[in-house]
Amino acid sequence: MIIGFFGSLLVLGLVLGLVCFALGRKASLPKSAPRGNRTSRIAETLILSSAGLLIFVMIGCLSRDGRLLNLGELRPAYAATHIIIACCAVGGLLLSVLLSLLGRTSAGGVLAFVVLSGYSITIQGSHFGPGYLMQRIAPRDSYEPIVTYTFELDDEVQGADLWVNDVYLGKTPIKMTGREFHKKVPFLSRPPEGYADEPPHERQWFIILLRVLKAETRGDGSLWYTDDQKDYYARARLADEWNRFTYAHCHNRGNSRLRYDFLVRLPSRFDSREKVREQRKQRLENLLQKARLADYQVQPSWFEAAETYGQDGWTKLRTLAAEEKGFGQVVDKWVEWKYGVTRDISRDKAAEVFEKICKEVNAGRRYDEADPAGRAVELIFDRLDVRRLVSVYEQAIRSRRYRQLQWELRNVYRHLMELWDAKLDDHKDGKGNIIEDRITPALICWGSDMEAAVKFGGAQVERYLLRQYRHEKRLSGLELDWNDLKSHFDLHLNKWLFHLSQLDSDAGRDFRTSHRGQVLQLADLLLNSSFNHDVDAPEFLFLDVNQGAGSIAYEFWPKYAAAVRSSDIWEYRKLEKQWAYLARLEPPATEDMYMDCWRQVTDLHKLMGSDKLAGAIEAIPKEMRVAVAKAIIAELEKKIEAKRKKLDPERAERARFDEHPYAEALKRHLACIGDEESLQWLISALQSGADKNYHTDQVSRLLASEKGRDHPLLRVLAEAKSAKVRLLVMPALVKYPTPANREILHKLSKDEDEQVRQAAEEVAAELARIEETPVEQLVFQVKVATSDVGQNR
Amino acid sequence: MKVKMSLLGMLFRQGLPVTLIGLPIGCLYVLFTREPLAWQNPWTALFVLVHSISVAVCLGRFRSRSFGFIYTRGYLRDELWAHKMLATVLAVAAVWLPMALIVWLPVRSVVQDKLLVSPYFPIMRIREASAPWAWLAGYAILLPLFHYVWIRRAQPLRGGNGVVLLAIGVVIATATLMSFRWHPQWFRILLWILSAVVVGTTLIAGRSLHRQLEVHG
Repeated sequence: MIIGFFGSLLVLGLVLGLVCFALGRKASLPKSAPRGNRTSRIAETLILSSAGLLIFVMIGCLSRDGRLLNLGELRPAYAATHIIIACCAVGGLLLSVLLSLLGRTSAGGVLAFVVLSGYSITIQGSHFGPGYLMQRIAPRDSYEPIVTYTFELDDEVQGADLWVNDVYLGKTPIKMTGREFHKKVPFLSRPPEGYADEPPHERQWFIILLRVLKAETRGDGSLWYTDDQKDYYARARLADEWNRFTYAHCHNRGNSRLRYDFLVRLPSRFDSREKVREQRKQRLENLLQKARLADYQVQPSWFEAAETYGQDGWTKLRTLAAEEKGFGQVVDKWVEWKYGVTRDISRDKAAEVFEKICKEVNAGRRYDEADPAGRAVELIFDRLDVRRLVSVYEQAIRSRRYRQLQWELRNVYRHLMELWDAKLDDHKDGKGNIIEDRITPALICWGSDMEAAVKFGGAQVERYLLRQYRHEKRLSGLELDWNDLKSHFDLHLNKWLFHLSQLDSDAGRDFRTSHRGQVLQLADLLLNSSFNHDVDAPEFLFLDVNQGAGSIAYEFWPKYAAAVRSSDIWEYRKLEKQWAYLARLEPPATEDMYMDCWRQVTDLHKLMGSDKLAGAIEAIPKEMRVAVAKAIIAELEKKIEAKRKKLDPERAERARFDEHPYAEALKRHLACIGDEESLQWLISALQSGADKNYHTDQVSRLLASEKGRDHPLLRVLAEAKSAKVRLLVMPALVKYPTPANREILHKLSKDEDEQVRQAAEEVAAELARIEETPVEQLVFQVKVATSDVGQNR
Repeated sequence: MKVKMSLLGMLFRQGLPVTLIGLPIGCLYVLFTREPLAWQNPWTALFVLVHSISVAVCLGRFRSRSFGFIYTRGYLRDELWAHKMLATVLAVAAVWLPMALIVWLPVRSVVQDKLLVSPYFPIMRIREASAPWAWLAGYAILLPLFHYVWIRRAQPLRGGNGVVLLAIGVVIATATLMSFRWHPQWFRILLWILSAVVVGTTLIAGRSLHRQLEVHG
């Protein structure tokens, strides 16, 4: 390895040259000797043609600047230049072939070499040559990449009139080339007239951060193109209504250096559209209310209606299913309705469904594990033959089709493999499973997909990582070999250390224990990266929390707390993040540790309100939360008491409001989680109407929110002595008519208080109305609202 | 045509020094090189190139006395050509087969895994299994070409140096090909077709020209 590969080639070339020279000297044929017979001429011509054709194809089609296969992406003049140069090269090659056919193989060979070298240098440029020749040969500007702009609303409706820098462009969606756009729309270095006069929230104008082509000059004088961002001032109007938002962004949809396909999606903030969106949201809510009223036994027409809400409908349902058991059944029934998947599906039927999903994914170029297709895969995966699946996936990886395999289809297989891996891991007896034995090595060998390999895990990948780490132990830095490098955030990390730290297995635990220092250093780097805006702790710290006070997460706590405190995130977020970290350390995290975090808050106003404190404390596990909340309340009350003693009564009463809302917010929270003492306090506060209905507002807001669906407070309030308090539950009963809430409603409809009974009847009537509304009326339809301003202009 | 063992033995012996040098170099390299073997590995490609040239030179020294001696023992030219090709196959197999077996059996994997504690093994064993076939393909393209070179140079015809240039051109084309990491399917098919054309042409033309070989006694 001393002289290197190219050095060896040079030596070999010299040796060959000397051999040729020696052979040439020995060859002493008379000049009258013929130049080769027919066989030799044909043979040499065929060899020369084959080698020449191969190199020509490589240069013209496969090289970085070889464009013969994608001439359609070029401007016509540039494409024509490419064709002409290629034709010249072909002509030269034909001439060399002709020479060879005439018995002048040497001349033919030299000519072919010159022609192909010239072709390569012309289209690709060279470091030692005259630079990028194509730009000298091709007509001026013909080599500029083709730019296309598309302007559209991020809405179901289009047809809004659009002005950019006060030039009317037409109705959305608008598609135009970059040259057309720049010819039509002048660039304004300053905002247009009237822009600065209007207050931002009333301004018709908005800024498009438009990406524009930028030409840069290389050292040899040739141009290369990149894209830059410039501010353009725009206005959009739909049905006589101006759009009101501040910024629109632009991104490149293309994946070629020759074509930039910029898409500008204008946020649709028209009042009329906001109303439509509100109606849409309400209809979806009504649909969900209907499902609750039907005890989650919905009909196919319900699914048809829900499907009209697209991804939103399904996502909402999946989110609800995580908290509301009945919707879990609805999700599965949706999958059954769409794919015919039942829990006891046969193997053949499961295979059929899988094929259908693959076809759908292929056609739609979309696969999301959270979609109905993803849920269907979750339901059928154990009915599919794992050996066959592994073979197909392994073959795809081995045959290099992995990179070509459609991204979405690859995701389907990856999802399947993850499901099977988890299932097999549950039943394994210390041995690897088929996925760890076959897929993981294949991913390392052919796919170079380390992330996926680490995710599947297994003895092979663990050994691979450990041995690689033994060869390269440095923590980070650009001096690491590219093979050992992992770019994460703005860091250049040791790939092996990065992956080993994240192994959730015995080998991973052993590694983190034996290389504790480096793992902590890695965690420190990741935590303090300028790209880690939210000061998130690396997940691998928590893989060994069962080691208690000996865990790396526990050891890392002071560093984490210091990093969070010195970060520039909101104060309540700092508190929340520290508490969440401690919560994951349980049980060694003590009340004092939680209270230390609280004591760092020197100015309560920085918490952004008492609600934020009540939200932040939810990060603490329930039992600890009660103790911590009570300790904080005690501290706050001590402060109030101290102020009372120190200040005159009037000022003390005013100053009390610094701490008071925080203490009460915590008490309300404690009442909500069932703390008896706080509950009594809350009910008496609600009954007395103290603090100008402040508590009533807070509780009403809580019950009307998502949390009100099955809140324990609901039943307690419904059984409260005061009718006024019982009335508070009514909005939640309309919004979330779950079987349990309907039971509460039923009781309240027989309430002794006339007002409560009447309110309960109103709720029941509203629910009856929703129940009777035909599902067809809850279908979401897109009504295209367009403006005629463009035509009248 | 019957295989004449004495002739084959004599021709094989001519290439024996090359085999004896190439065998340990190839085997040791295959056994101990750390990086996984792939068809683009430049060192194994260089080895195949040098080995092919050496074999062709050993069997094609048409100005040597031993060459003249064999060609004046009454063997048919086609017989001699076929035996030279057979001797070439044996010379290649004597080096290539042990190298391939080291990869396949898997001696290399065990040595790398147990002795050298390489991270790549045994995982990379499955991937390396195809590398010996790539070496064989290299021999299959280069050896008929190099044999053609000396046969052509031994003709009483001008233009012998041109064929050397042509062979250098083919080597450059192969090296260029190896520098491209990824080839689309259509290009691979084209590659196989063109390789088959070159191999077929050099074999057929070599055999035909071998009949008109001028032997210096």
